[in-house]
Amino acid sequence: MLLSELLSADRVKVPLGSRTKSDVLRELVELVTRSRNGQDADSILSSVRDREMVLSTGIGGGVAIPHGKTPAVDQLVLVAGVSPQPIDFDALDGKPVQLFFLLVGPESASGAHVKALSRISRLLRREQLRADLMAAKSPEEFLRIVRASEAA
Amino acid sequence: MPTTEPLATALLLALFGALLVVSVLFSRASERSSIPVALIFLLIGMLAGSEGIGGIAFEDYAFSFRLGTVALTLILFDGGMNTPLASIREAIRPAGVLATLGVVGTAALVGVGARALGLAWPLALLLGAIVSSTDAAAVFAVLRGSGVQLKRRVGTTLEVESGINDPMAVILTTAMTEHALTAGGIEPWRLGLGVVMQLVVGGVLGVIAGWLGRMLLTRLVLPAGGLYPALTLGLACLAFAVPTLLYGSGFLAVYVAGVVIGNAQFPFRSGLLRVHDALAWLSQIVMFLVLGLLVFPSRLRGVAGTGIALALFLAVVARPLVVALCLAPFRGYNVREVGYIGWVGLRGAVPIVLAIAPVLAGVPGGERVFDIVFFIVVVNAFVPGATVPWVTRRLGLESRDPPAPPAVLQVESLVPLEGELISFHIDEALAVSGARLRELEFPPGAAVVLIVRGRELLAPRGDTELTPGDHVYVITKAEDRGYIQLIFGRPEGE
Repeated sequence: MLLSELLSADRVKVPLGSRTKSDVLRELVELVTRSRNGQDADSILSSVRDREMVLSTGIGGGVAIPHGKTPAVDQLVLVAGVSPQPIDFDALDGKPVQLFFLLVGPESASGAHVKALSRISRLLRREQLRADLMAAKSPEEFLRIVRASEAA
Repeated sequence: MPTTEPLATALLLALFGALLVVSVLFSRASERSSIPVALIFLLIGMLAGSEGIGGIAFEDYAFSFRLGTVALTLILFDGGMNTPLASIREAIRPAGVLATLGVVGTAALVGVGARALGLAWPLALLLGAIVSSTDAAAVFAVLRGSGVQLKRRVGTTLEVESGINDPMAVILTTAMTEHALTAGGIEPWRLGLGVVMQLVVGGVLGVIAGWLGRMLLTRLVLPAGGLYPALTLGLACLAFAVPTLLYGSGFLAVYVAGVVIGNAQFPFRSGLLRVHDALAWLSQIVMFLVLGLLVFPSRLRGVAGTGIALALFLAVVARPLVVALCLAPFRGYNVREVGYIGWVGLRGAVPIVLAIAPVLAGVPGGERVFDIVFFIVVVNAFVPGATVPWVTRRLGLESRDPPAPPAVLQVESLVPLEGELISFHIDEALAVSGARLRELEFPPGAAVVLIVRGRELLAPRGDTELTPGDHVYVITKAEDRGYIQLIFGRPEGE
């Protein structure tokens, strides 16, 4: 599974406008509903918030991968965004977050869901890639960087 | 009362044993009532005392002070051992400001409040210094009892603050006691210098004691597992005593030593932690029982008005104001979190122990201060104490608290291991909930090794599905922990 296949320019937002954890989650979920008409943003948002209640998905290094399972979508949807301002996300290393990947999927796709999370987190281990993505100026550039890193 | 042995000892042990057993049995009442468990021990002590049904005549301030100091040493050491280095790293700056400037600010404000209520300045300032530090045990006992778990950063700030703010309160109390006894008082610069000296000496010697302990525990092979806690108990005593003898803060040193030792990996570590946990509980109980015995309820009536007024002033004005000022320079605390940290500044045993010092030193009016302090701590246990679970939920600062696992699996090792065994509670919001094990992607060094479902131990197979409510044990290398927590959530017990 390639992330560049799950992502598209209209599912990446650079820059994000939010300043708080709660707002940035909503802003990312809006990316999901914008690209897939008529879906229940509140249901998606609450599934993501439920997961944040267990433990922050800010995995450190300025990266957060919020995710949730919801009947409001019928397949995996990945969106991403970069915030110019670091946002406090209660991350595991205590550092604020700039780079966001939000993944939502239906209950039935647990396996694919975990695989996608694994893929994202493995990719983002590379410090250089994180820095490049955070410096991306547009969704297109963001996608180019993701594609290039997956091709390598 | 028999004076021949072994009858005298037997009588003493019967008394002690009965008080201990009653205290432990009644500790459950705290879970239902949200009253800090320490308060229950205190009340039992009062009931056993000369004016209660027990009729035990006890008024030995010197013995109580010594016992209280020993108990605090053990409690702080245990607190340090259970504080992950990550929490310290994360919260040390805000907590450090709260534990120094915050303590001074609280002391000063309460001093002003006490002066307004008619105490002379020396006594008012002394009172402020005595009640200036918070108690983490109190906060976490209340939260745990009600099944609420705090958002991490708020929790670590409170925890680290209360771990390191007692030294400041001790230093201030000592200084203010001296001030109350010396005509003309002491100059502020001497006080300032003394504070810095105490903190530096205590901090440095604490780290040294911790490293020494770490070295001994990782290198030394002792003939029996039970000898390790004896060693660490000795180290804890030394970590308090040596810095204190060298004009450093022993309380800071013993906490720091606990942190350094507790964050190391060595043989029998979890067994050692359990022993110190037990010692800390025993210390809590004994200390509060004795402090309860030391109090004369009849004397409290005279200070009730002052005590209640000051307790409320501390809870509603002094602490929230000081916290808001101290946290203002730090990003990342929203208004609710600042308000919460300001509200739940619970007081514990430290003020009562500290209040004994001026009585011992012969400060005129010292006993009155002791009675007022006692009152403040008791009122504080109800406001804000008993409101903590409600406020936590009201402000939306709780995180989901998974139920305790029915079985605990631990790796006891004689040598430091690479990798760790972590258990997780499967919440339905987690990515892995509903997934079959074969669908999960694990890094090379990680795997699910056991699933506990209800009362059943399940062997993990490819087609085993993880269902909400399961407790899952995962082995992982340290570098993969971020990913494991991304898909499995919060490790149990953290």
